[in-house]
Amino acid sequence: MKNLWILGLIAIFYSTSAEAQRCDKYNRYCDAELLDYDYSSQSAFAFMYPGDTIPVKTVLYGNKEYHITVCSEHEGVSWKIVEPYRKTEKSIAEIRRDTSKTYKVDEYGDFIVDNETGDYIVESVSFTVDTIWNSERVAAERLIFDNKKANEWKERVSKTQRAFVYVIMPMDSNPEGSCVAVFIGKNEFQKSSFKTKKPSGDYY
Amino acid sequence: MKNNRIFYFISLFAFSAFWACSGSGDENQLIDDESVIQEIQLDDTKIPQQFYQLPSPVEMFMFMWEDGAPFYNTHLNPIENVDKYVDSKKKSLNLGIYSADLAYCTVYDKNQETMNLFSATKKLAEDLGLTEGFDQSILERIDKNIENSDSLYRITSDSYSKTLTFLQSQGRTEVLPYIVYGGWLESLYIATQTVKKFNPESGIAERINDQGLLLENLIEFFNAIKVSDAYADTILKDLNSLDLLFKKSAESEDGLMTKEVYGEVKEQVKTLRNQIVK
Repeated sequence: MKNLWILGLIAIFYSTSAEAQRCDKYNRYCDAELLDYDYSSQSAFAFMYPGDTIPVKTVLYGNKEYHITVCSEHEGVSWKIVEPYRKTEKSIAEIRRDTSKTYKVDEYGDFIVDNETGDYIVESVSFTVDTIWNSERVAAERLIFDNKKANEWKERVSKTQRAFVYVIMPMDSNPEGSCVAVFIGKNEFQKSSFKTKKPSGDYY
Repeated sequence: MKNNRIFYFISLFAFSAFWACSGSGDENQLIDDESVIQEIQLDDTKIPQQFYQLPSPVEMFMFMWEDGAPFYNTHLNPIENVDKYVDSKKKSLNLGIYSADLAYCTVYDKNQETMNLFSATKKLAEDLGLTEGFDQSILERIDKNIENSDSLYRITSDSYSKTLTFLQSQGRTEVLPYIVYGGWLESLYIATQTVKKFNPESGIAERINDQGLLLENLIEFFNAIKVSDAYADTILKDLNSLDLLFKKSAESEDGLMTKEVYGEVKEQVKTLRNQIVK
């Protein structure tokens, strides 16, 4: 009897694991409306526990329209799209302070000596402050979209860019985990819809 | 419409077998000052998995086909080479290479080449234990549809779909980055070998220049491999070296790739690709 319990637990464990690994069975849980786009290339499927964050790092080609949507067994999943970019950050490396003096000269251009101290007589003192800057390229992210208002992002991308989709599983989701599908679709899929141009003599 | 939908379901996972790549979540994110980003500050312990996705090589070939680029079968990795690859890393890399060649041939309606390449791909996949997606029934379907380019396109996509499911369900992520790298490199190799006269403002030059962004994902993917080995280390070094070239363009004023940089990229890609297929 005890063995049966153990076997049962093992069976449950393995069925859960198997479920976790088969989140790609989209039609089991996902109501997301897919368009006539090609979702084949960059979509991702994951199994997430409460509090998990999963980044899906994609590249979106320029001059293409993309449709991104996320669905999950848990309805309250939140997700965002951010664009990573590099920016230059400046920081002060060193501040150089120089003092320069000019001395009095006579009509012949010779320095005049102070009779009491024996030093040249100072005419003026100038201070220069030189700031040396460090320039560093750092990674940053800019928000493109979050799903607070809508559950899909559809946009024509003008220039090829990286885009990161962050999916966050809320703490109140199923403690045993939930499937998530991140659909990244690009228009123009059926090859028959393409029309080829004549070879361009310029570069082919 | 219904047929279209079925088609999309069938092809939903197409190519993602190789290009939808997941890695472990041990990477620190440098997140900047954008207000919303503060809400998604990443805690490594809460990132069970990261996905590094690359547009599939088929997108490069579709672009070339649409752009009027000619097809050269001399750019393919000869199928006779398939028996040369002994260890699993070399097999994975060349599975990526052959998969890209397969995509190149299906896009250009080279049906006989598609059939031959499918056999080579199938062999490597089987050697790697990736039997799903490359079974006999698929081969028979290809044989039956040898005259129908659109069907071939769908069938090969379908086989990738099954491979993805298999890879993910088996947790075989140790081969994924190598397959992805092989496929990406082959698509870049074919593109750069096809361009005879470089014009920095042409569409194909721009598309080649864009590969720098795919390369960034690929580098992060290799960096995320927890158990590194000589193969991974060498590849990472090569990728970083290639990345330096792409960065020259990215950081230039107009963002375009110069002829000199293009020449260097072309040479480096050729060297790396030939090291893999030999």
